[in-house]
Amino acid sequence: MEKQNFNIIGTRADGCDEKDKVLGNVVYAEDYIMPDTLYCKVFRSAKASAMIKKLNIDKAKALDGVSCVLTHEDVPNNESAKNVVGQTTEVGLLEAKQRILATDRVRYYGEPIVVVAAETPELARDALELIEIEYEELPGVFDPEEAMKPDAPKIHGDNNVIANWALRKGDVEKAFAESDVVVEAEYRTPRQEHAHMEPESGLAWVDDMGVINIRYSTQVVEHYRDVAAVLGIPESRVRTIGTIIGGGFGGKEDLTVEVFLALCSWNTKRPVKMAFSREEMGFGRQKRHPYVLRYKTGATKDGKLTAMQAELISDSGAYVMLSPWVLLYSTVHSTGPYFIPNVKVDAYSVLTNNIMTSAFRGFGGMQVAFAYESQMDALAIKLNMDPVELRKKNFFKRGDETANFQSIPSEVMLDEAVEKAVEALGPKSEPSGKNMRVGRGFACSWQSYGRMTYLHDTASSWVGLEMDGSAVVRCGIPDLGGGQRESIRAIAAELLGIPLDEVHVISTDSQVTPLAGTVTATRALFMSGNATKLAAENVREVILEKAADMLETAAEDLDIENKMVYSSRQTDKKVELVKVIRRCAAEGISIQSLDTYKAAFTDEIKTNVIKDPVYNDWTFGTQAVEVEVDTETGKVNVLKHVSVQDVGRAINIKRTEGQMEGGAAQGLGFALMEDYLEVDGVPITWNLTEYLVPTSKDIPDSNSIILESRSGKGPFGAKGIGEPSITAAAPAVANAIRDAVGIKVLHLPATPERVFWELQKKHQS
Amino acid sequence: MENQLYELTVYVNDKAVRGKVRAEKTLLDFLREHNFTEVKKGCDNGDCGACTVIMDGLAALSCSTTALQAEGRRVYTVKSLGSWEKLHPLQEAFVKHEAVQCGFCSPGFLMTAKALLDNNPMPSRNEIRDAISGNLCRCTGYVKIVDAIEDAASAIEEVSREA
Amino acid sequence: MRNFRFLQPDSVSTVLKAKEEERENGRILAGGTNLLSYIKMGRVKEGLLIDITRLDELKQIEDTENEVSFGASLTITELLNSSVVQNRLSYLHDTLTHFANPLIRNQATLGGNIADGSPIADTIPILLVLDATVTAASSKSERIIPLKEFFVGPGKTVLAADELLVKVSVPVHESSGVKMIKLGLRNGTACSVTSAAVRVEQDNKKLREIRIALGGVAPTPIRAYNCENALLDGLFDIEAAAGAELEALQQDINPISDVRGTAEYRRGVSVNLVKRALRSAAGMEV
Repeated sequence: MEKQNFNIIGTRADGCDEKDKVLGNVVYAEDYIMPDTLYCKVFRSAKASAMIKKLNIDKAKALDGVSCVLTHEDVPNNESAKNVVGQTTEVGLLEAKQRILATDRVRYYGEPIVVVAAETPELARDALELIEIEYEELPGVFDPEEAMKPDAPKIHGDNNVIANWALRKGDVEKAFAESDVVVEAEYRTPRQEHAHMEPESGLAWVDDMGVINIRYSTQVVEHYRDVAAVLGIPESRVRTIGTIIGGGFGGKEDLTVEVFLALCSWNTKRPVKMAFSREEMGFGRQKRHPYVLRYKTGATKDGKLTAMQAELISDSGAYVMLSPWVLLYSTVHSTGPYFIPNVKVDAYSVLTNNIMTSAFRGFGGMQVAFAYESQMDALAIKLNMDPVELRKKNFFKRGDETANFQSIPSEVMLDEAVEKAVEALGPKSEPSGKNMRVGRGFACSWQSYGRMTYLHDTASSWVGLEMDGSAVVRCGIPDLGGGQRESIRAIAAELLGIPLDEVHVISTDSQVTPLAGTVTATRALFMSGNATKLAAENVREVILEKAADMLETAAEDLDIENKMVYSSRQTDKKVELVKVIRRCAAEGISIQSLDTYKAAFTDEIKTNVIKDPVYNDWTFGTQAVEVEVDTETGKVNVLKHVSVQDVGRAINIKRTEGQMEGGAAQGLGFALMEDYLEVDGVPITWNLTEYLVPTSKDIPDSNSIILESRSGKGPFGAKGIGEPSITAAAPAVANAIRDAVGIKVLHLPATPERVFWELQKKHQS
Repeated sequence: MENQLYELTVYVNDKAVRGKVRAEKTLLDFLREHNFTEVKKGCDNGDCGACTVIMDGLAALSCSTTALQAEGRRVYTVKSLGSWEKLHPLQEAFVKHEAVQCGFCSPGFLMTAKALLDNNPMPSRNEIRDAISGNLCRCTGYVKIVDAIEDAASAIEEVSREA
Repeated sequence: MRNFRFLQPDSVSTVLKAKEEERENGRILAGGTNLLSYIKMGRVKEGLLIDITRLDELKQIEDTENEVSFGASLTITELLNSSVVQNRLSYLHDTLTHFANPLIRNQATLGGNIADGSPIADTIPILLVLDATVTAASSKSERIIPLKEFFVGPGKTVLAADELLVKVSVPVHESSGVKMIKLGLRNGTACSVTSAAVRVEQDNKKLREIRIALGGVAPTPIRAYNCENALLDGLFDIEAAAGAELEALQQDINPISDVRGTAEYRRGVSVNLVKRALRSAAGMEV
């Protein structure tokens, strides 16, 4: 009874909340207010590595209007630890634990030390200024390769390397010796800041049942468990209510405001509100890992890849966060979407006294894509071969084995993608001045969707029909702005034959909606979409069975459209959905269903060398750009952009394009301007004056081409597109710059200065 | 020492809003404290444009304006544009073109676009890109926003031609 | 703790009286794009905020035969919309279209951009090559200061604590070619890494007069006197001026390394910016 004819899926239907968004009606986390609310602010470290010699909060406490001033002594369980698989045992979970509030030592600039709640935001700020602190500076280490040396200052325990993953396939030494060409280079990528427009914010209160409610902007409603652990109370007494998220991109995946809010409201028993300032978003929250990548790639003279060897080093900052997972993504994805018979990769994530790093759209996939796609162009040049042809000879095919010995389970439409992308660039632009050079480049990528399979990911969703034939979906998935609620609304509406606006989705409330997991890892559509599909199919089956009874026909012949159940064989056999629902009600048949979707499950990885499947599936795509390089200043301007992605099936065309364009824009920022810079651990680009994200004048008109292999593991063959949309943008730019002016771009972002010096070097040689 | 408070009246969306504020209180905070929470605080430093309102006919960064500078002036937020029953052509176009993802920047973009079209009814794509270059969007990549403003300009033009 | 007061003056003389009493503590609030940022950062914690945006006296444009004068609280948008700027100072108009972004342009004032004393202020290099002057007034007196003598260091100017910048006067150079180029790290809303402005007067391809000014290469915006002289001495053909003469610029500049670029890059790229501005001002292909 799998539905085949779609009325809603695959259209450009408007979303459920867009109208309220343009009317200014949406209530975001910082807009909520309750009577008698306090305002919370955090006092943070002004040193990157130091002992706290003295901390005096008396004056802050004495200030009129200050309700609470809390230090680590006031936090019941100050150490938050995640059992992050992949963390090496040398450091151990215990020693690398993150403290909610610093005890005697601070390890990065911005580490929280004291949290304050006061009657007004101004008073909370004044209270922070009354806190007296004395530090004794400790030697710090700010470069991950320095931090790997035996005599480097240690951040936790006695080894700064907190994760190590490897790939071993075939014999690279032998293969390089037998290769006709080998290219080798070292690449560096920046520390990118999420820079979502909405700061982390929320409101917490203790209700009349003694439950802490936290209404806030989060990608992970399951953080109620972390809050309960910190406060030492049952998980059932913490309720997290997600709001419409004003952008996140991974920035609202780890803990942000929830613990501070909970601590203050638990202590004062009053509602407490807080929002990060833009500066605090800078130095108080994790970034994308900067990487050093050393690549060596070999090929035969007719362009078959023979071997790849890589060393990846990521700067995890002062705490572990999700670094081992990010590194795992990088390691598995390090080959690119190519079949390579011999692979040797060693990857390390290293603690430093820099700002911590963790999840960010792309999750380790972007850094390696910059390297593997730059390598492919370098090979093409050395082989004097068309870079399209070179890639076509090596793309994975369905069923091929990856370097972690996992079979590619879905279609790989990269041949089509790369052809369409290059073609869609159209005729080459003329340079705008005599010192301008125009060049073109493209890059291909693979990016998994869904979480690592050893995490045993599940998602639940509930679907129920109302007596008038409308429907309600309850599903825990938060809405990040990418249309997560809209996707499950479309799936339920399609399967139940109900108009979109008669389906209501309730999401992201830990005590009301069935838990569907995080809106991360490009898993929202895949997981919550499949869960909703299962639940809606269950309800659909009940309806069709009952209707079959009523129409005296077989359920297999029936479908529902516009709230009418009808037989596809005999057009006169039809009954209104409402009548079927009433019959079910009269007979006591449930027209609701709660179902859980399980992703692929594998065993926990026990060794550093990855030899087993880790992911559910991948999304494959190509991005192509045309750039203009100003040879006098080094400034690079993107003139054209094309993205071609096989999304399996587009649930909504507009939203799919939106992901492709938005992801590309962030990728172009990563390529050209974005870098959260620190000098000896002290940030120097902590507001949006200095941390530059692309503006409307930096992103060209973009052409998004959607391919649909219908071979993915998401609902109706969908793959994921949230993260895959970002991955190939930066190497496409790097390859285009090389095409324009003949320089290698090895260090991102390709700022005017970096390009300028490479041009100078080229002139001199 | 007690901070001195100053009385003021600002005409927000054609209604008088009265208050007492500190000298340095921004128009943004004043508006939000008076329940105009559709005006968004994205950076509080003039870098992102999420707080854009229209003041005396011009797009203004309410985070970089003191409330007292708006004393007696007419200020319009996104709620002045259209209603659920009848969206403003810009709002209509933002929905149609998916110029909205998370929606947090949208009130600011819409007010900047409104001020643009009030002064330049048929802007070119480059003029649109320039006009909105003080408003940051991290979700869309801007293309659909430019499309929407271009489309809205045509729609408004058409209506005024018919009238 | 913050302690601010607010003054809505009814005239420039009220402002000057307040400045006399408050001195440094009398904070001029015009566009607010800088001052409110300093207040939120905690760099400024107290004072009398003096709102000058409603004073028509500071919004006047005087158009005379040789000079155009601008009231200090005219916004960049008001300048862009002024037919005098569009017609008589079209090169200034061109420069102002690259000023920050339209939202900032609606608020930021010409006086504020100058008085803030930033080495990378967007209006300064072009005003320097136009030989602009500013008028500073106090309750006791008024004085005219050549812009080239106005800046002392980053954020520091010769304005006395009781003075207000009231007017900016720009001579009209009918026969000059003028161009300012700004290098930022992105296309929309970027602080300059370096900016360069050039004004040339030519007689039959012979250089009669030249002004070069730069931002972002020294503690203040500067005139590049060495480079100007080198070009005047050696140059009859601008096309040939690409090389040695421009290297004299290195004696004029003293850049630092900061978040937007290294000193070395500023040294290297400012030569190219000056060259490009020079060619453009001279009507040549760039």
